[in-house]
Formats: sequence, C-alpha cells, structure tokens
Amino acid sequence: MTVAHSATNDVKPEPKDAKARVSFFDMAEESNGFSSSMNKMIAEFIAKNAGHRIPTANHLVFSHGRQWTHPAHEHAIPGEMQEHSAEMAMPFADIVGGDFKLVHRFVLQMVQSFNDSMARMLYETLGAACEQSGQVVDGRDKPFPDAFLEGFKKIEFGVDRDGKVSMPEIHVGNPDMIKQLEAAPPEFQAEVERVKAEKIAKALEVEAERKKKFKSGEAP
Amino acid sequence: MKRGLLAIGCDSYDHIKPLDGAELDAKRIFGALTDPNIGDHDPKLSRLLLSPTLADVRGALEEIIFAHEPLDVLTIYFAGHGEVDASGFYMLLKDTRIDRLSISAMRLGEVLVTVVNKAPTTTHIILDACYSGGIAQDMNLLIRPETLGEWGSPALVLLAMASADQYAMESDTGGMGTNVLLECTDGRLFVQEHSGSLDLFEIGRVVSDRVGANPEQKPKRWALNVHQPAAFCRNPHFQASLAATFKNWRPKGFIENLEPLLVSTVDEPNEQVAHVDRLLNGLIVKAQGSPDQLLEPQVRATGAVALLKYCPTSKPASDYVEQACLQIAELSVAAFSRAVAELREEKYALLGPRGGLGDLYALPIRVWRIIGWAGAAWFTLQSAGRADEFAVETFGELLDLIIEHYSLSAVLLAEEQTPSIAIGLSAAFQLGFHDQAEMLLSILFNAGVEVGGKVARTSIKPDHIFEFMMHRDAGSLNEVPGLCANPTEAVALLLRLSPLFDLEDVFDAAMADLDHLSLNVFVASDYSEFGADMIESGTNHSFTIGHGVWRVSDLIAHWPEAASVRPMHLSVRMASLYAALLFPDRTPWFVVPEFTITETDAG
Repeated sequence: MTVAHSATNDVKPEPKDAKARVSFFDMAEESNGFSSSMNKMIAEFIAKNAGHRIPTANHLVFSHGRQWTHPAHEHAIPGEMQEHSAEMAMPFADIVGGDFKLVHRFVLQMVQSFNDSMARMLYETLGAACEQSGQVVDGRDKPFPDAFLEGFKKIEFGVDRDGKVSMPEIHVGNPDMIKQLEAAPPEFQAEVERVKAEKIAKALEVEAERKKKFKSGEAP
Repeated sequence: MKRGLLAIGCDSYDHIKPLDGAELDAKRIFGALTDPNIGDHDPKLSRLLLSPTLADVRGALEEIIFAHEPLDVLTIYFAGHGEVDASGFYMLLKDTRIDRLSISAMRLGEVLVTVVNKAPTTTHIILDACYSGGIAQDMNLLIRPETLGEWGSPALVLLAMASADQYAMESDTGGMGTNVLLECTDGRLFVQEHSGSLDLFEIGRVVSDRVGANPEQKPKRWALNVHQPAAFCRNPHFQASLAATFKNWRPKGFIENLEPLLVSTVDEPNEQVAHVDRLLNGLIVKAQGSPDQLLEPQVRATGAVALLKYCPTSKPASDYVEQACLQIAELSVAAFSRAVAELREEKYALLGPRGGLGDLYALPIRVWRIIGWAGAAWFTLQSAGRADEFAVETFGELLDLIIEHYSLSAVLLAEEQTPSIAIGLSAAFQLGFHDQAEMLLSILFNAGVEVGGKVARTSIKPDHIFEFMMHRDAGSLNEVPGLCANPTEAVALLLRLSPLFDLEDVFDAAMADLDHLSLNVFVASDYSEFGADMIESGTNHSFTIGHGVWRVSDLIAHWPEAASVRPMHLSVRMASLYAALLFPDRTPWFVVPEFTITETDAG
C-alpha cells in the first residue's frame, strides 16, 4: 500500500499574457522545513491510526514491486499495492489572514481523509476474502443476534505471539447492533460463551499442532 | 618510500659577516619536512646541520646517500650566504674563505655529482641564498644522455630563492622565500586541491608569484627529467577538499541528479556515456586520494549503475558498464588485498577511522561489505574470464582473517547486509571455501536467532541506530517495530544458503525461535531496473515462519523459480551486483548457487 497526499493553494487563473511570477525572498529552507515537519506529523498520525485496526507488528513494509504472493500459504490471496491520496485546498486569504488554526484543520482533515480511504480498503479487502472463502452469513431474514451467532460459529480464533488466544474484534456499522446483542436473552449469552470456550480450546489445540511442526517441537 | 632530508642553515662564519635567520629557517624546514603530516621525510634518514663546516656537510651528505639503500626522495635545503663564479654556485659554510671558494665552500656541482652516483628517484634542492639562481650552470653536469630520458631515471627539481645577480631577502620571521615555501606546506597558502601531494615545482610557482612581486628578488625554478609528479609534501587543501566533496555525496543523489541529463541524451548514446564519464572523472581523481580504499570503486560503480537501465538498448552504455565493472573489480581486488595485508599486521585494522562505540553497529556491516565487494569482484572477473589465482587466494585469506579476528562481530545486525552476504557467501561456495562460509553463515544465523530474526531496516535513520542497538541488547526489539525490517530478506537468505553448507538440520532446530517472523524474497523481473530507487516490476514472495514454513525444506519447496533467472546481458549481470551493493535494499538472488540455471531475456 502506498500513501500520498498533496495540498494546493487556490491560485487565481491568470490571463494568458500575465508575466511570469516573480518572488521576493524565496525562504525555501524555512518553507520546506515547515512542510516536511508537517508531513512527518501527518504520516505518524496515519500510522498510529492504522495500528488501531491492524497491530503494528503485522505491518509489512516492501521496498520494491507492486505485488506480493504467499507461496507457502495455500489460502493466502496474492495482493497488489493500492494508492491512497488526499487533496486539500488552502485559501490564500486564510494564510494572509494569519489563521494559525489552519494548520490543525489541515492536519486533521488530511489524516481523516486517509483514515476513511484506508478503512474502506480494509473492509473491502476483508469482504472480498470472506466472499471467496465462503465465510459469509446472510442476515437479511433473521434477527441480528442469530446472524451474529451463526457467524461466530464459523470463525476460528487465533493465538498471538505470546501464546494467548486472541478474541475476534467486532466492527459494526450501526451502534444499534451492539444494543441488540446486549439485549439478547441469557440463553443467547450462554450459547456464545459455550461456543467461545469451544473455540478457545480448538485454537490452543491447533496452535499446539502448529508448534509440533517445528523440528524442536517433535516428540523425542 | 624512503625519503631523506639534509637541511643546512649557516648563521656563523669564521671569515664572513654572520647572518641572523638562516639556522632558524633550516630548523623550521627540518621540522616541517620530517613531520609525518606535512613533509613525511624519515627523521632517521635526515640531518639538520647548523652553521656546519665544509667537512660536516660532506660527511652528512655521504651518510645520507651512501649509508642506506637508495632513497626514493632526497631533499637538500640550504639557507646562508651564497656565491657564484665562473665554475658555478657555492654554498658558503662556517669555514669558507671568500677568496678560496673552490676549496672551502660547497660547490653545488659537487653535490649534484654525489647525488648522481647513487641517485634517488627524485632530488629536491632548495637554496635560500643570495645569487642562488646561479645554479643554472651546474645543471650541465646532470644533462647526460645516458642518464636522462629513460623511465625511472633520476629526476631533479631545483628552487632558488633569488636570481644569479640578486640578494635573497629576509624578514623578522625568516627568509622571504622559505616563509612562502612553509606557508604552502602547512596550507596557509593555496597551491592546488586536486592531488593528495604537492610537488616542489608547483610550490615554486607560488613562491615565484609571491616573492617575485618584489622586483629585487626573483626566485627561479627548474625541473629536469621529471616523469611523474614527485611528492614534496602532503597537500593540506586536498584533504579538506576531499572531505567537502564527499561529505554529502551519495550514490543515490548523484544518480537522481544525473538522470535528467541521461534522459535528454537517450537518442545520442555516445554523448550519454560521455556525460557520465565527464561527471565522474573529477570525483574519481579525488576518490583516489582518499584513505577509504573502497571509495573509488563506489564512485565508479555509481556511474555503472546510472547507465544500467540503458544497457539492454544501448551498446555504448553496455560497453561502458562492462569496462567500468571490470575496473571496479580490479580496484576491489586491490582494496581487499590491502585489507588482508593490514589485517596481517594489525588485527584491529577494520575498525573505523573515527573509532568509538558506533563501530558496534558499523563494524558488522563493514566486515560484510568488504566480503561482498570481494565476492562481486570475483563474479565480475570470472564472468569475463579474468579471475586470477592471486585474487582467489587472497579472498580465501580474507575469510580466514575475518573468522580469526572478527568472529564475534561478523554478526547479522541489519537488513542492509543481505546483498553483501548473498554475493560474498555465494562466491565463497563457488570457490570452494566451504569451511569458512559455513562458519560465517553459522555466526550470522546464531546472532539472528538470538533476537528472533529482527534486524535493522534498510531505511533506519542514523540517529535511530543507537535506540535500535539498545533495544537489541535488552531483547526488546518488539517495542520498536518501526526500526526493524518486517518482512526480512536477510533471514530468508540465510535459510536459503543453509543447504549449501549442510546446515539445514542445525537451522531447522532453531526455527521455533523465529516463529511468526515474516520473510520476503523480492525478485525483479527486469534487472536493468535494479538501479532504480523503487523497482516497479517484480514480485514480493512472502513467507511467515510457523505458518507454512517450519523447516528450511518448506522454504526451499516454495522458493520462487524466478529467483534463479539471471540477466542475459553481461553488463546488466555485472552492474546488478554493484547496484545491490550500493543500494542494499535489493538482493541479486541469481548469484545464489544452484539457481544460476536458466538464462532468459530478463534484462
């Protein structure tokens, strides 16, 4: 994934016979220094926000190429770089007007724009992967808790690098969905807990099997 | 190089009016020219004579010239009274009688005849005395067809501070000519900046300009039979110029700046090559004077890499790159031969010139760069059928010495070591240095396993290196994922190399310690792009240890076939190696043994 951003000033259209623009003290060093510091701050915010969705340890940085494959992972899907960009206009009048809050607005809007773009890509990618693997639940003709439970039964829990079972995260587009889950009867909660315990046991079992595949994990 | 000096200053005279500053001038000249940072004449082969008699001078001259092996450089300096008559120029000494010059003064002609008898390669004569320009007639003694003109025959440079009919002036601080000469040697006066040393003839030009501004004292200079510049002293301005030139010089910046020019001349390939050649020449001359033995190969490699993308379509570019790579290889052989020679003498020779704790990080990278450039030299020369036995033997000795002295510092630390390791160990394998390569690979892998395979990313900023090292030492690199390569090609490479040296089982036993580590193998589909900042065409083959890869054999089974495809063009193949060494975020996988099977038109 690559990210880029740009900002433009609302330059007035100049008549065709306009003279080439002249300048009065370039101050390039100060101007470039300000921009690079601001870009660095924006990049840090974007990385931090990305870390909320995907653990930083799982961020991969590729120096070259636009595509990747996972030859040893039969279920993994080859990927390709996608470009994210955002563009904002900075009115000359605000700069001339000494509006210092412009910097905050600019940074926040730029970060928000990237966040939206990356979140969209993340859910689209997840959605496509689920469609491809059949991990999809049709919730149109059933209450949300039932659809949730059906989906919950389909997923497998993972085990993190420290050997702890990691619980799935629930991302919902509508806060009412959470309320519906909380309002579900005790039998529903008990069933969720039962499935959860079963999934945890299964995850630990799978993890133990996975570790046995190392030479050092073989039975003596 | 044997450099001797005879410095004579005569203030006291038994029969002539005394002088004030001649002894001081001789002392100052002796001090400057025997200073290893200025004149670098050997004090053991040098003499300072203060107000000597004629016998003293003859004795000292005999000792300097005849008591040792022939000198490479002899410098004779005289400050005192001078006199000239029909037979030539005389240096007046303590016991000289003005009415008996021929038997009581030192005739320059006698000095020259003595020198010719056991001739140093270069003789410098400096006379800060009245009438010293009268030496011209003594030079007839040297103009002999049998001793001049042949390569290696003796050369003579003379600098006289006054014309044959003039006095040599003095100031409160010393002789006018000697003052200017010393200001040239210590850098207060600028002579030139393009060479690491100054020769007496070019210093004489400055002396003539400065002192000769006074019409009453016109210095004279002669150079006889000079085949090549002979170092009189170090050039203080060269070091400053060298430092300034290379302070901000980076191969990447050079290529980026050059690219628009190359694009604009793409239809004139000869002109394109000429641009690179012209721009590099100035840098090469300066790099040749650098103490960094690998600076010149790096500068030349930058030119080859700049033209890499044009090689498949431009014969001039391809020819230039091939020649440049062969030259780089020969220079690299000289550099690693020098490293071997230095290591034989001094086991700490590979420590950096700045010393300090920074070498904890820099040394492992430096050690592998040397092995990598040595390996690339062998691949380059071998592909042109020019790899000689000496280079091979020296490469083996280099590996031995590194194992002997640097086994604890040739460790895996940074992703940027990857291309050097790939090229160096692949060359070692092909040359049959299996034991050494196995040892080095084990050292690398063990160091990597200790920290879960985490290495510094290639783009780590210098001011983050300390932080990386502190976390590495504390075992907390998980806390600074931004400083670590993720995925890493370095560990993928080590695993890939292990079967070549029968280390597969050993590595398998440690794989659990690398659980969850992401590996990557980026394979370019066109190696003519290998010099680009970002190589667009190609595929990242990603692996995760513990997820599809539990043993070396799992990785080998899924290793991309494309990795073994080597570039068809010889120039592309050669320059790709140097591109990877200059820009170590890419690995020329095609050099890894057992993969150089298929030959296609990939570049």
